[in-house]
Amino acid sequence: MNILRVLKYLDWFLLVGVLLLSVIGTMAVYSASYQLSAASGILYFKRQVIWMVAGLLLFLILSAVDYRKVVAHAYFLAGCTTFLLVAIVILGETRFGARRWIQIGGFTVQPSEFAKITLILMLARFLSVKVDRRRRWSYILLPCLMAAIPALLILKQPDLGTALIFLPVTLGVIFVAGGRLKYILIILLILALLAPAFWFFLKDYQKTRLLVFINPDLDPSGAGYTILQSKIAIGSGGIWGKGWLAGTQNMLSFLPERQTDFIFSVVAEEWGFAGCLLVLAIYAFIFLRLFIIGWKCREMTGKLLVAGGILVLAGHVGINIGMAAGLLPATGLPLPLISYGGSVTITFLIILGLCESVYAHRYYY
Amino acid sequence: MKKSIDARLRILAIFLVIWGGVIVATLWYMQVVKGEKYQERAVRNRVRLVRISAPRGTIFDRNGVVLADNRPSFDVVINPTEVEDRERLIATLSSILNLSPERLNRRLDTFRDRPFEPVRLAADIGIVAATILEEKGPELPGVDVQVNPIRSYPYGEVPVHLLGYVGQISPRELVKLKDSGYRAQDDIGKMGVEEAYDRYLRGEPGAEQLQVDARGYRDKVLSHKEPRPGDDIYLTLDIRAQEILEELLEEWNGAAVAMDPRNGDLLALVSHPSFDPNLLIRPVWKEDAERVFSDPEAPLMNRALSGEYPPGSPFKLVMALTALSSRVSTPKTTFDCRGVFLLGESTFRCWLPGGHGELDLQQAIKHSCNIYFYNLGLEVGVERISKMARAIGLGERSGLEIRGESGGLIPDRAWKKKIIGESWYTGDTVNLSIGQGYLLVTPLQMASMGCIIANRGTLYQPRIVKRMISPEGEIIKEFEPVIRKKLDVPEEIWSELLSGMVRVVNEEHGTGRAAAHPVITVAGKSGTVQVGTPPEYGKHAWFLALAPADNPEVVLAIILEDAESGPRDAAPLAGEFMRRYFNVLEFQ
Repeated sequence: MNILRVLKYLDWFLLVGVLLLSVIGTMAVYSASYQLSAASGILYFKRQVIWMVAGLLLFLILSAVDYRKVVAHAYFLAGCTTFLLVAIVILGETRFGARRWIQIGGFTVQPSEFAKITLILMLARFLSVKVDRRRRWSYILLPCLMAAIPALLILKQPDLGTALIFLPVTLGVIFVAGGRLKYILIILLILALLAPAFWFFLKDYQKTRLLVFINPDLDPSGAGYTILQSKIAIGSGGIWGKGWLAGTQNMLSFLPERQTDFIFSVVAEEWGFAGCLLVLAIYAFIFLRLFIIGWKCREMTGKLLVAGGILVLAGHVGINIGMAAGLLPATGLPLPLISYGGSVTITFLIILGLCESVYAHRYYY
Repeated sequence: MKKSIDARLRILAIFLVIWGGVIVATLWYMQVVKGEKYQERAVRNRVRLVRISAPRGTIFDRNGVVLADNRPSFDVVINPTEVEDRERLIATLSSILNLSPERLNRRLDTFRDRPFEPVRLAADIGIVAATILEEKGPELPGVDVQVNPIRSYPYGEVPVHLLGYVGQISPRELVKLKDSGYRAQDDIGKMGVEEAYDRYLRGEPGAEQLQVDARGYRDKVLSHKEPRPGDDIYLTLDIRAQEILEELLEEWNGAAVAMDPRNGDLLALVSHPSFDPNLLIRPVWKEDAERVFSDPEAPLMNRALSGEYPPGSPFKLVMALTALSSRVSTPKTTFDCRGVFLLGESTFRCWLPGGHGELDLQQAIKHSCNIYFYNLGLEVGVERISKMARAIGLGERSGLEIRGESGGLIPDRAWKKKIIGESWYTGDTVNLSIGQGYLLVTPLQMASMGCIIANRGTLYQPRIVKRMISPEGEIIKEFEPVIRKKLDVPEEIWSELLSGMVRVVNEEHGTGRAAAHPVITVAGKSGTVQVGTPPEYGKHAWFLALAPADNPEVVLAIILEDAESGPRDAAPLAGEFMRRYFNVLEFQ
């Protein structure tokens, strides 16, 4: 491995975009966790910085590693995360009523996050190897089955948001790979018809979340509270915002989950419309770079890996912000590189590192 | 093929652009178009949960004297968003509170990044300053005088090592106790009884659901839950005895423990130097607290529980007990003291240069003759000595509920091999026989040793808390005396030891003459231990006393650091204590 060569071909624009977002993200976490840190004694900000630094190191290391070697181990890695997901169902740690965490060494990790990485690795592997079958049903159904196993295990935790993200990512990569659009649409139609049946599998709190989405004023002090408070936070930010650490919705603790799922509301309240545009512009810049990497890559595995990365990241950004603004039901997904969380932050930086590797190795094939 | 993938990636890109557009449009609508409407809503709709801390339980001594309770503290609170003229405010406060403007500015700036939260600028300013501030209120917007409960210790430094004190919970404690309902800024017991019984004393905090306005001020109270005060605790401590000992130790570094041998009650526990806990309970000004924490004399250390000292001569009582109970010697056994004791190449000396001459056991105890016990030690052997020392509770913690107790050290062959890496020499046994060498005990263990002799073989667990009473007046828990050790040793042996100790105090030339009481009979044993090799290091002076000798109610152990000798320094203090504790007037 020639380090100089890798440095020479690295996409510095992507790296700069990621760094900018990381800085904004840690500042937002500092503000959003201020009261929480004071009340619980846990230094969220300090932890987030540590995870960011660790994640950025992984990003750099991965960009120097040939992504094809990583993709070659896709099934093994997917097996590992599935094993961890099964382990959680059996002996996971219950926090806030859900079993999502598992203790490894001194850390608690959320394997459902890492399952997102192995999902896109698995898709890139399968769809590029079996490309001859792309007009067939099996080209769509087999990957769907592979994705369904971890997704169902995650649904069992229960973590509806993370489980649901598997669907657009899987179908999206299959679509990009060349799966027949007709078949994909048929699958979507079947799922839509089955949706009422799924309703009965949902937990009560998930049902209320969905109902409240349809009408937030249904229960303004209970389940609709979060969405309402989030909308007030965003709206009251105005054009220029109330200033860092000065958002009343944030600092007076009216926003629940504000360091994770609703961190965008904190950014919007304190930095205003101008700040939101800045954050969205950086995301747009990162996606632009990712598309360029996809287009410049000369072989299918890399293209599909990048497509998977884009779908995971864009899915999170789009759903998270849509949720905060009241456009989508609150299912709970983090905002990449801005939300607080160790497994989450590291997962996104690993995915971006893999995409960076596709760019750095673009002349190899 | 690759072309088709690129084309489909473009379709994906178009989707993203569309969704991005929707989001930007929505944000623009919410923040720019409807921004003002949302700002109004942000100002209105707020419900906050505020904790109301519970008054801490009161701590009483055994006779119902209050040792710790709560009093109102007048605190100055600043609401930063309401302050109009900060410079004038600081200047006015500085003159009223008699605090430098720099100090006030620094304190106010500590919380600059939390603009909505009231800042407690000064605590416990006193009623006079509070009244002046109240009167000046209208001229000083943003200043508020609040009344909060504060822990108060009427006896100050006197019972502090046993009682402990409260302080703000530290981050480390918080991590450990988060699940038990503790929160940041809660008060928590930091030492002694306050720490050990914190979960009873703290009570349950109440809560208030408030509707607050944009700046966090209360609009109206939506719901209210009263806090439940903490439980009251009655100690076994007798503050009268505690005060006497505290006064007697005034000039010394050292410790004293007084116990009731009949049930294990700790009547007094003093460690000197001491500190005033009232200086530590308010975290607002750190300077006073820093002074206590950084004092080289270590006033925070509880010498009575954690201090480990060679026991010296009082250990001769354990020697006598070992020899008599194992039938190695009888009270009639005599040894001739010529002032020196030769063992191979080494010479061990008696403290009296000319020697004591021919002595039996009681005379040996009375004169504290080293030679007698050297001889006894060699006949008994280290195994039996260490076994007996352990049997009466030396070398282990008593299991006191309060933190910081040391276990002391009983050396034996295995210990020396393992820790020092040498075999046990006969010289070690000789040193051990007079309570020197590696042997270490805490003042509490010394008192326990006195208790087991006083109580003729039955040792009670040291007891600090007698009972706990709920705020409703119900007895939650009554602590009964617990037998810790029971020795099967014939009655005559105990009488023999006690008679020896009575002679120490009450006969001509006894080493504890200074501990005598005019009316009741005090029994005792002095001790003087060499600390380091250079003589200028000084010695530690011990005195172990029990009274009345025929049916002891009090056992007292005193240790003074850097003293001259037990008989000269410690015995008079024990005597003074006994004379004041068993007040002469009561007998007339």
